[in-house]
Amino acid sequence: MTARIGCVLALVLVWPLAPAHAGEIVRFDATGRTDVVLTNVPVKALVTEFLDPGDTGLGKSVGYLAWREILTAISDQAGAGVILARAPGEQRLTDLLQQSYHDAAVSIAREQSASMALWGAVNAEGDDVYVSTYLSILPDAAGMHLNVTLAGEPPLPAGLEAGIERTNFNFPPVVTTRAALFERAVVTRGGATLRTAADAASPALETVAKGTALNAVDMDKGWFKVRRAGGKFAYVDNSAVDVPPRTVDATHLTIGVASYPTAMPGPSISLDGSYKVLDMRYIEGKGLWYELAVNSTRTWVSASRVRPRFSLPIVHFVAGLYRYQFKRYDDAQREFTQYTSAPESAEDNASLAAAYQLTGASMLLAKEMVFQVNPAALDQFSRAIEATPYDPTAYSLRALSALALKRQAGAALTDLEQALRLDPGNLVAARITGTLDKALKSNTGTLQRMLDDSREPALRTRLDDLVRRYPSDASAARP
Amino acid sequence: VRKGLAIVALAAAAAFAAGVSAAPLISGTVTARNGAPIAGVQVQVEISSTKTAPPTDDHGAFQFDAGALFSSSELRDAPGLLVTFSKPGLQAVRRMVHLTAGQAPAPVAITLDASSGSAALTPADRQALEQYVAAPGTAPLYLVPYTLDGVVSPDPKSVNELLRANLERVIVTHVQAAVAGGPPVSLKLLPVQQASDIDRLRVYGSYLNALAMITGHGAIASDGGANILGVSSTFLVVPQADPLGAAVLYVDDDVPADRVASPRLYQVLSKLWGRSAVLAMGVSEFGKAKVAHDKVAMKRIRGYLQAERGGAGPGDELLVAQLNTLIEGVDQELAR
Repeated sequence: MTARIGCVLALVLVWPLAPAHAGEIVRFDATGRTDVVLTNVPVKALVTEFLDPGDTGLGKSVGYLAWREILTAISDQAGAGVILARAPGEQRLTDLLQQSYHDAAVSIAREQSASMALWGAVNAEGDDVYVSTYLSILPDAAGMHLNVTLAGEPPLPAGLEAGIERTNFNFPPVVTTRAALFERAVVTRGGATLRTAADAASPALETVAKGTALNAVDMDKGWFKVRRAGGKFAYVDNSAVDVPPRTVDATHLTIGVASYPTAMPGPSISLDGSYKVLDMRYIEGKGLWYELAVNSTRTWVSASRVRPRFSLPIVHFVAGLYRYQFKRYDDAQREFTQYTSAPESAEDNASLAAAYQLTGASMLLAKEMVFQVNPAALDQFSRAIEATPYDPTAYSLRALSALALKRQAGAALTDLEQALRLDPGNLVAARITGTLDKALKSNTGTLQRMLDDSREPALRTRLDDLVRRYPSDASAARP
Repeated sequence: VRKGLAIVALAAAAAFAAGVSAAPLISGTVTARNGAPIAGVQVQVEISSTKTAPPTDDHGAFQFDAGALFSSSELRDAPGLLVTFSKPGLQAVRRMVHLTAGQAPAPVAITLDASSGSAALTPADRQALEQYVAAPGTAPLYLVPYTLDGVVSPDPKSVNELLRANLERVIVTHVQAAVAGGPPVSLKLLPVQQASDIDRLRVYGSYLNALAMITGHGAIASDGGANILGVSSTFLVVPQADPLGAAVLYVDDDVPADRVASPRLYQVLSKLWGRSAVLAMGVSEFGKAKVAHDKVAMKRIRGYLQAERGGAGPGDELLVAQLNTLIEGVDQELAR
């Protein structure tokens, strides 16, 4: 089909990317310094301690947990870093956030040349913990504008472009429990000291070897409370351990039971559901592996075959953005899908729609050529419209993907018409419509050959009507 | 047991999803706060166009056939009917009547408050409010503490303080997500006796230079054995600008009585209040821009109202209708 129409078509995501550097992880103490940390890391997010209006004592712990989970989610991504912004001692960086919220988060992130800031708030009631999370993307940071452009070879006319303009995301609150947050395996990164209290000055109980999986039962500020042999407890600093996801999801997966990541697989076992992670290992050349509890069996499985489920859906959203920026679109799709499949995600239409759009874009961009793309990518844009049916941009994005995937201008025009009905002054939809009109009237060119219905008289009539009602070149005169 | 976010008197539901031919009959009553029926209330019904239905009778009752007012195609495409009840001397009330296939519409109960007369500020009021008057250029919303009848523990005062902190965060973050470069928004606790009279609340808000006033009333009731705290909340947009007029939104919610301090309370309120705050800001700024004939400001206002509407989803029809009304007003002003 490509040969027949003489063009290769692809959706191009415009998200400028600085040259990749080796990954580096550094903790940032906001002790009044203005030093920029992780200076060689091109893509950085900043995580802050969470607000704690009810003084539950969980704000610091949840901030640390979110930070560590993001690090785990992007652990194999060179050039990516996560900064924890922490106020010294008992001072509260949150005071600043509490005064100006997103604006404060953007300001803190900007000081560190980070592209985005993740922050939140914790409330508790009985066993229930309510965690609200927010993402502030710096509107002017390193081209963090998400535009989808229809491009081709031979070239397509300019103007077939739409984007997600939202930079502040308010994610739906997650209702969870302390246990669901903190009862998990943590794995020592080096020799780790266990102490009697959540304080570096407290007496040391023992040092455990690198790669030891510990059973955490709770958190106190930045310290995991872990269960020791004999039922006693100790504390380990979060920086001394890796923090795997608490569970992973698997769908119709059959694996051989393995007692170690590199072991020969034993009897087959089926995985379909959610499984607790008992341990985690990175094996050179084989990537990341998880040890899972599958009924009464323990087995290792490659991380690439399962989907991690982090405590807070925002971790998946942020991890998806990282993957997206590094053009690891399959991984990005996986993360955004994990976000949209979280039950809480449906509570906020705007962030849900953005996640669907990013999923769809990831599916489109994962393939070299558009005819290789799963047509189901279009469904993601439709879901975005279901979530935000009054958003003209949602229709413009689906129109672009319909042009690419369906090769039909008719379907795209229906969406563009709806976008312009919602907002007669919508420049994006008017520009795409105008571009289509000019390209199809020329009776030559890539777009003309690409679209199966480009010569249909009814289509021309619709285009004429739309351009007459919503002229792109006169848009400046409209409200 | 959460009833869900229900807009008060958003009661009627009837039949027409795509392909449903029977048009719904909408009926109900309009009463004063003391329960007395109000006759002669004008009833206007809006989808894409606005139609006038018969006014209320001597018993405060009204009834109209939507099929007689609108074409079947208009009804088929509409998410619901926006009904405005108005009478001189009374605060107009707008209600979105959702239409659901296969369900007979429930009667709509409307309460209208006086628009003037009962709300003059006394010297004592002024003294109590003076220290909370907002400085020019700020855009505060005020939370008049909820009254929670029958709630002994936890302390209702602490409930309100926690509610303020949480509501401020969700409102401000929502506004920040939609409105770039707007005035700083905050939510202040106004420690006065609850103003159950909506007109009085508006006068308080005007005196304070408020963007909006939020308050509510809760009472414990038994629901099949379990005690439930029914909470009725009011969000009053203080500035007024044609064509939206005096916007008031109501939300009913139920929370388990043993979870009065629950973050559930602010969770269910937050989304609607965030959207309402953007609407309030639009009304406020549009009013000023209109007076100053500032078309640049109007375009900016239009932009964030569009952005706010763009983030709305199913269930937000009432606010979408109000945003549409305001956007149309801005467009008309821009076209002059």
